[in-house]
Amino acid sequence: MIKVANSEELEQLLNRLSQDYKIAAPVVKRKGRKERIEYEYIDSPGEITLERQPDSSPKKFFLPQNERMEVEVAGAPGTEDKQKTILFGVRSCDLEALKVLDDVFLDDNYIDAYYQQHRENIIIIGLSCSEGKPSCFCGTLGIDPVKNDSAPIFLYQRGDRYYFKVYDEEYAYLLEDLPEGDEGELAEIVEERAASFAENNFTLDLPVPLPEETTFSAPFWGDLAEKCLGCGVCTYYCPTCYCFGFFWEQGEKSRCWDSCMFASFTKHASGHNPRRSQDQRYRQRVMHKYSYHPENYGRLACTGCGRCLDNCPVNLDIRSVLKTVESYLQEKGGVKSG
Amino acid sequence: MSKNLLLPKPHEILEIIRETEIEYTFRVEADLKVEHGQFFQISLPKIGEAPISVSAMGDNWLEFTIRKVGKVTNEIFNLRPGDKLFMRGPYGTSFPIDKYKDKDLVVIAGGTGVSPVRSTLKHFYQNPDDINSLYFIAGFKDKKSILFEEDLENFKTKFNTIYTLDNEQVEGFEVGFVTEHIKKIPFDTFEDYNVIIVGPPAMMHFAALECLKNGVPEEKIWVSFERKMSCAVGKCGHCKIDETYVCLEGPVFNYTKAKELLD
Repeated sequence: MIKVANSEELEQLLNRLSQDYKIAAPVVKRKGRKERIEYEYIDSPGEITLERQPDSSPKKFFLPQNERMEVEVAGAPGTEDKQKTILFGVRSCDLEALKVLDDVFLDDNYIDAYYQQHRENIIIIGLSCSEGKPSCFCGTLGIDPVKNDSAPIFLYQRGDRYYFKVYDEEYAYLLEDLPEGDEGELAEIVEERAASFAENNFTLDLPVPLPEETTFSAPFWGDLAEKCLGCGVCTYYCPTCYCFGFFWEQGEKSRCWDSCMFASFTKHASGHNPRRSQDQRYRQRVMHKYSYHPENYGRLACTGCGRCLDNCPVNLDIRSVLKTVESYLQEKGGVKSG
Repeated sequence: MSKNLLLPKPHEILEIIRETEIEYTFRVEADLKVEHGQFFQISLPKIGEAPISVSAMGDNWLEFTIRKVGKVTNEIFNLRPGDKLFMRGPYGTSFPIDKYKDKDLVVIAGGTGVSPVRSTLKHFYQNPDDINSLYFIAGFKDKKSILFEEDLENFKTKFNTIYTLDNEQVEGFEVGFVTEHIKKIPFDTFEDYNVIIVGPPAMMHFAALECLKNGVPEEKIWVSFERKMSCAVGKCGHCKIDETYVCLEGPVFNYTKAKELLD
C-alpha cells in the first residue's frame, strides 16, 4: 500500500499523531558555530529536516548512552513508558544497524529486558536516501540506500511529495487520513534513485567473515592504527557498536556505552591488560565488525554509514583499512573465509 | 517484560576468613546449584560489581576468595558477617569433573589461580576414590601470599603435592616457579589423565608449554581464563576474545580451544 501527502498534509499528519505518540525525528541542532542534525523528540513538525543523513544514529533510542538501572536492588526494568514513540526518518544504514542490535539483545538465549522495552515502544518510519554523502559506502556492503522493508513504513520524499510505502499493514492505521498513492510513481522514484546510486567508485572484494587468523596476524595493524588516539568517537557514532559497561556514579548504577578503543575496556583491577596497545584495540574493533560478529551472527557489524570517518579526529578511514586488508588477503592468495 | 538477568540478589555473609593481608575468603549463604570453576558477579549497591570465581561450596553456602585491589573489593573488605553481598550468577563453564573421574589428575595453580580450582580439589579430597591419583602443584610469590594454608596441609594427606614459592625459602615449600616442577610429574606412568592449569596469564602460558614439552597431549589440558567480565551474559563485549565470549564459553576452556584464542 502506498499513501501520499504534500508537506502540509504531512504536517497535519504528524500533528495528529503527536496527540497519541511522542515523535522523534532528525532536527537541526546548533553547537557553537557547528550545525548538526540529530534525532531528537520534537514539539512541532516544522523542526524536522530530512535533508541529509543525521550526524548521529538513532541508536540512543534503543540503547541509551546512559541508562539508569533503577532496579539494582529490586524490581524490573524502569517503569514502562506508556506513550509510544514514532521514530521518523530512519535511513537504510541505521535500519540495518538495528538488525545487528536485535541479533545481540533479542537473542533467544538472552533477551535484554531494557532493550526489548525500548524496541517495543518505538514505531519506525524509514526514509529513502536521495543521495549519499562522500563518506557513505552502504552500497559497497550490499545495503540498498533507496529502499528497505525492515521498517513497517518507509518514506520517499521528492520535492513536496511524500510517498509512504506501508510494509506492515498493522501500522497502516497511522496513515489512515492520507489518500492512497500510485505504485507506478513510486517505482519511478526508486528506479531513478537506484540509477543515481549505481555509480559506486568504492568496491571491495573481501571474504566475510574475514579469515580470522590471517587478518589478525597481518603485519599492517601497527602502521594503520599508529595515529589512532583511542578517543572512542568512532564507537560512539557507530550505529552498530553496542558494547556497554556498568557505571556507578553518585550511588546510581547506569548502563553506559563503552568502547573497545579504551584501555580500561579490558584492564583488570590488578592492572593487567590483555589488550594493552592501541593498535591491538583498533584491530579488535575492525575484526569484530568484519570477522567475529559475522562469525557469530551471520551479519556484518558495519552498515557503511561513514560516520566513523566523518567524525574521526585523525581521519582514520575504515575504507582504506578495508582496502589494505583486501590487498593483503589477495597477496596471500585465495584465503578462504572463516 | 522479560526477566531481568542483570539483577543481583542479596546474600548474607556467614563468615570471613583472612587468607593473607589482601585476600579474604567470604562465605555467603546461597542455595544455588553451582559447578566447579564457575563465577559470579559480586556487587555492592551504589559501589560497583566485580567478577569473582567460586572458591568452595557446601550445603547452602558458597565461598569467594577476594583480593583487595580496587574500588569494589575495597568496600567488600569493610563488610562483616551478617552484612549482605549482592550476587548474580553462577556464570560460565566449569571443570568437567565427570571426565576426570577414575583417571589421574594434575592440578597446576599459581597465586590466586588456586581459588577457581579449589572447589575441584576439595571435591576430590572428599571423594578420593573418584580419582586414581591427584598431583597438585601450587605456586605462590612468597610466604605472605600463601592462600588456603589449612587446605594445603590437608591436601598433602591424600594428594601428591608440590608447593613452591617464587623466591623465598620456607619450610615445606620448594623454590622456583611452578613450571620448574612440572617435569617431576610422572606423566608416562599414567594410563589416562587430565591437567588443569590456572593462574596469571604468563604462568598459564608457560605451564602449558612445559606440559606439552613433557608429552602432555593438548586435549588433556584445561585452563581457566581471567578477563574483565562485565555483563556476564555475552553482550557487553569486555571479555570478548575473537568471536568467543569468555563469560559464556569460558572461563574454563580446553587447551585446544584456548590456544586458538587470539587477542
